[in-house]
Amino acid sequence: MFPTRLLRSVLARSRSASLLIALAACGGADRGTGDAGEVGGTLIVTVPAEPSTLFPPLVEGSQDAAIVGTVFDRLAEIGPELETYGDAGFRPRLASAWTWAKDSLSIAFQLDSLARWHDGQPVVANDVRYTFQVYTSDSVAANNRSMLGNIDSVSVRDPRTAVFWFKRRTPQQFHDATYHMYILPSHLLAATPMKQLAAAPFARNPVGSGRFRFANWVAGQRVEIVADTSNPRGRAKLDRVIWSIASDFGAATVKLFAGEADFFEYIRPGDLGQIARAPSLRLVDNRALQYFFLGFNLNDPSGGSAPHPIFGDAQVRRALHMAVDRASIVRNAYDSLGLVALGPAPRALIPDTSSFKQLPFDPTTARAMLDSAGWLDTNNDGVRERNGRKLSFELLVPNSSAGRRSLAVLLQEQLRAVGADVKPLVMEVSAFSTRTDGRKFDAYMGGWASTPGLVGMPQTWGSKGSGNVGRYRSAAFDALVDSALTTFNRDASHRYWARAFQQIVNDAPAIWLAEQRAPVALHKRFIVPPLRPDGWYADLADWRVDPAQRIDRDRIGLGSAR
Amino acid sequence: MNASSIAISSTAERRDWLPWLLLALFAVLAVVAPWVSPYPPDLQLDITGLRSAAPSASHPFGTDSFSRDVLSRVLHGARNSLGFAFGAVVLSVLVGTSYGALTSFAPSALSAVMRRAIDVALSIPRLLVLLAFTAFLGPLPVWGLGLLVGLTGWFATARQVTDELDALQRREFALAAHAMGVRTPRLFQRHLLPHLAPILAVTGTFAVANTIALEAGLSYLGLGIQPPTASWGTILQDGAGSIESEWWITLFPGLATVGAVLLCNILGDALRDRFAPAHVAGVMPLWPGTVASTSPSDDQRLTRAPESSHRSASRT
Amino acid sequence: MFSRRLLARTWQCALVILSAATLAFLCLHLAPGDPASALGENVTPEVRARMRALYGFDEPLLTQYVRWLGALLRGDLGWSTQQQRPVSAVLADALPNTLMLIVPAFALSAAIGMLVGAWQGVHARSRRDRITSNVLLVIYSVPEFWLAMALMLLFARTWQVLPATGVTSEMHAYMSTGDQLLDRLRHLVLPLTSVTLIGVATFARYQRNSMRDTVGQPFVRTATASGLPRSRVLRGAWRASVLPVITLGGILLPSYLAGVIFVEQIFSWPGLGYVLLRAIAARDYAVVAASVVLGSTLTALGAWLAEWLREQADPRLRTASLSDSPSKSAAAEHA
Repeated sequence: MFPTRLLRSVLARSRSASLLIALAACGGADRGTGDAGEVGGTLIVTVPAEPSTLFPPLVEGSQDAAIVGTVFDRLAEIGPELETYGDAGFRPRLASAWTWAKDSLSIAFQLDSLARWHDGQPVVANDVRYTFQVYTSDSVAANNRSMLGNIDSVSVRDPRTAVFWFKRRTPQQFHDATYHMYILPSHLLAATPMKQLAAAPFARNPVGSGRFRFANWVAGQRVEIVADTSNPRGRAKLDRVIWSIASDFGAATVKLFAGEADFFEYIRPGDLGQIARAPSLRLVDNRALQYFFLGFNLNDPSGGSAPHPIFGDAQVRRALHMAVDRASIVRNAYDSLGLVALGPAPRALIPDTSSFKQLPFDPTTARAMLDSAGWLDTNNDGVRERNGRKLSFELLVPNSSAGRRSLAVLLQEQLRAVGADVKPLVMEVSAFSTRTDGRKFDAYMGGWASTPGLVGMPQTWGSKGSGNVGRYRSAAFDALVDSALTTFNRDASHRYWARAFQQIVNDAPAIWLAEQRAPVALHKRFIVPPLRPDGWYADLADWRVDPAQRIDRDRIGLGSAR
Repeated sequence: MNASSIAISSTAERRDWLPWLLLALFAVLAVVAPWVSPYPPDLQLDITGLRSAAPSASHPFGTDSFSRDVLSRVLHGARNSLGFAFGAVVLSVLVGTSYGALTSFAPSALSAVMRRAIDVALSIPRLLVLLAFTAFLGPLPVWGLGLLVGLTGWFATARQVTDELDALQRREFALAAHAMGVRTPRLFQRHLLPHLAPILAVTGTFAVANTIALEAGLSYLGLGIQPPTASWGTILQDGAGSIESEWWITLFPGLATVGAVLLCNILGDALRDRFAPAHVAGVMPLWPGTVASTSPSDDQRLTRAPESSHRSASRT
Repeated sequence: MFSRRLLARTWQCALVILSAATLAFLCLHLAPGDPASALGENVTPEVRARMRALYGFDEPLLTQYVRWLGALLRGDLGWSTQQQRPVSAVLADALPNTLMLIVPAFALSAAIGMLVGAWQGVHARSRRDRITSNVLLVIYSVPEFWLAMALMLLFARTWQVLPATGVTSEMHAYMSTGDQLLDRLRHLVLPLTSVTLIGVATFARYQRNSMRDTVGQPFVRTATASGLPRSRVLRGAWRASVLPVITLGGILLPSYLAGVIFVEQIFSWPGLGYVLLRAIAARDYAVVAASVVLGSTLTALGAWLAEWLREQADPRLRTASLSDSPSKSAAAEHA
């Protein structure tokens, strides 16, 4: 339901592989393939789209993010509570320890001396420095580059120690340094000019340091990763995970029900009953942090800074927002699995959901507001006009999201009732992001997966945010968000957030539509830790197969690929 | 051979009325859809209460996931799908006939070039061309798509008309008329066109069958008629994801599509059988197999055969 | 040695490819924005420069056109923005899969269709013939995607006897050679059946009529009257009736390609059609344009092959001289 580039704010989501569990379970004894009770098994994930790249800074869809998140490592991993404040919630990963400077303006990360790239080379501090250069390079244009704005530089103190230098103290600075970047192997990449990294062979054949290593990518068919048996943090329990690419949702669903796949992330509400009845499948709760919205382009899509002929006017945006019966739409599209989104964040991340007011559903007032804004249906064709421009606009919809396609059709009908003509334009994700990033659109069906601690808010809705493709500009909102994120006083932070949400709801740069309780379908033989809301694959290395329920493909073992 | 052909056409005649009647029914329903549909086709009746409701007395075909009445959508779909196919075929027959006539009457050098052009056009898979255009032009309005489909569908007709006119011009009545100084346009209009009409009717009928299927296919891929406009293809697309649990969304437009295509094909067969004898007796067989000799022009004759033109025209 | 007919066909083949390339070129120019800027941000300037060099936007259209043809000839088909690799690599991955589907489908449907049709032709107008004809007409009338969906629903989903999608199963790499072969065959069954069935219907409809009429020909009656065994007579009649049907094969090729596009999409079969549809959704224009050229080329080559086959089957054609206007001469012959 939420692949797409709109995940960019959190693309760097990865398994948090609760290290403690990992260490306890894999303390050296069962690093090999021997113990058939603990390790072994094949997980087949069916996805409705092929990954576009496996180069971490440029991942787009959630299938890219999942594969990258299991093959690569961060310096430290956020805990299951997704606590972004300070470093208490974080667990060591590539860095085995870290030291804060007295003034808190730098953090020195000591790298795990056992950490190795999958080609056997040690992970060194220079890799960290190089990674920061790549993520912040103009030539690479990494998706979450703007999230790294508070990091001034990264230096190498010794081959095992990388030091992050910050511009200012914030509660999230540790999170900023660790969450957004997967460490890259400089010894394999540094020889390639930055500008060519996107097209380098590495992007289709990555080498990381995670507990799974990349095995192969058969174009149009599948991507396979296998357990890295010599990983210092323990061998992944499964032998392999295969992302099997289907042409669309229907085909992917069929694969799941036919037993050809074990895991499917994007279940349609209509299929839930069938999964519940299927003897081999179960639903696993997944509190994904996504929210969906119809985003307006506030500027003229033809370029320049002129306001959009329709959406430049906040009153029109509010009117359109009020014309939409969000409760019914969400009920139709997600059944009992959706909730009306309250603003640009899911409830789980909003400190106090009752502290700001929603725009009401009120088509009568909406019509009156459109009338008074000068949009009148003078020729009685059912569509309003003003100065020769019809109240008619294109709505970009990514084809990877069945949910958003449904939402678009529902919206189309409801907005028609107030005299607005919506023309949905379904396109593939990469084309969708090209259009939205290029600001060449009227409106789009967006979905963001929020970052823990809402640290991504400036990037998604701030004036300078690269994800703010509709160019919502509010100095008040920017200031409130900045205050909320930078104050060390939690109560004050909550108050700032309440005011920020009220501000953006009133300005209506988007119609906040839905958040989803998105269960995933999984074969019953898998025993899995709770799925982390910012990425189900975070603890993939700790997934295992119940030895009593193994099927043929679990018994293959490693290394017998032909 | 003559006797047997006549035998076919007379047996066919006896059973002819059923497909005619059914097809007429389809056409009538398509025309009166706005008046007989229980609901407007795009109206979302109750998106929470009537989502994907199974068939019932008030909604005989059920409702789709947007709570739209499937019966109303299928009826309006008939209007769009059949109207689309008919319009596109009329356009292609008009263009094809004109081009064919021009080719046949053109000076021989020009005529040869025009023939070669048609041969080439027939060899480029039509679906590829359509897909390429929809890719580069973006989603088209219904009339735009109809224009595109019509303008990529006339090559076979043109080829057929050319060959037929070539043959007709060598018949006594045409030679006589020519000798009497009848001018070419008049000759074409008064004497040749009536001979072409049955062939065009047969080709056209097969072409309608294929254009219905083509529209359904394009819309199913999301590249044809755009939602929320109801056509059989778009309804099929709406229901394709939930074909098992909500079978009623796909079953009815699916049956309608296959039914309409089948009826047009039956009708095409019947028309061909009825008109064929006259031509067999005249100059050229309509049916490729009726002359088993393998003269160098077999492929020409093949493309002239209504069915092959239908096949290569619309499935390409 | 090629006969004049075959030579003419070769020219036509070249013309078809040229026309498809021209069409693709025009389409690329119809696309919003120039292809180099449509590449997105993540493309290296080298690739962008190569695209510009390939299309040369500042130059006159004719120069650009010649340049485009030259690049095509060298096999340089541009850069896939979606997959971030050369279009030729994308198509090279897809082409074998399509051929794996289309070649057997064509052979099977021709063989089965000719057999069924010949059988029908011999028993023309019998009850069996009528029933078979009606069944074939129904199959013939079902759109490809509809048939494919129905097969998938029944065999992959409801009965679960055959795999639903893909060319091989996910575990293909871990199977023994025998199992690998079996695995491929199992995956091939449903898509292949979908494409084949409709082809069978078409071939059979032609073959039936061709056979029926041949059986009624004087030479067959003479042969029968002279006491030749019926099987030999029928074999001779079949030989005579099959030639027009072989030609039909060449004409039908484009329709196979069309059918394959739908079938590949439904069975997630990563061939040309699948690649093309994904490229359309991704507005990956270079891939779309190249697919049009490649698809037309395949068809043209197939038609050439059909012509060659026909010459092999009918020695008369090899010596026959080709008049400038075959259809007119043919018409004269029969007048």
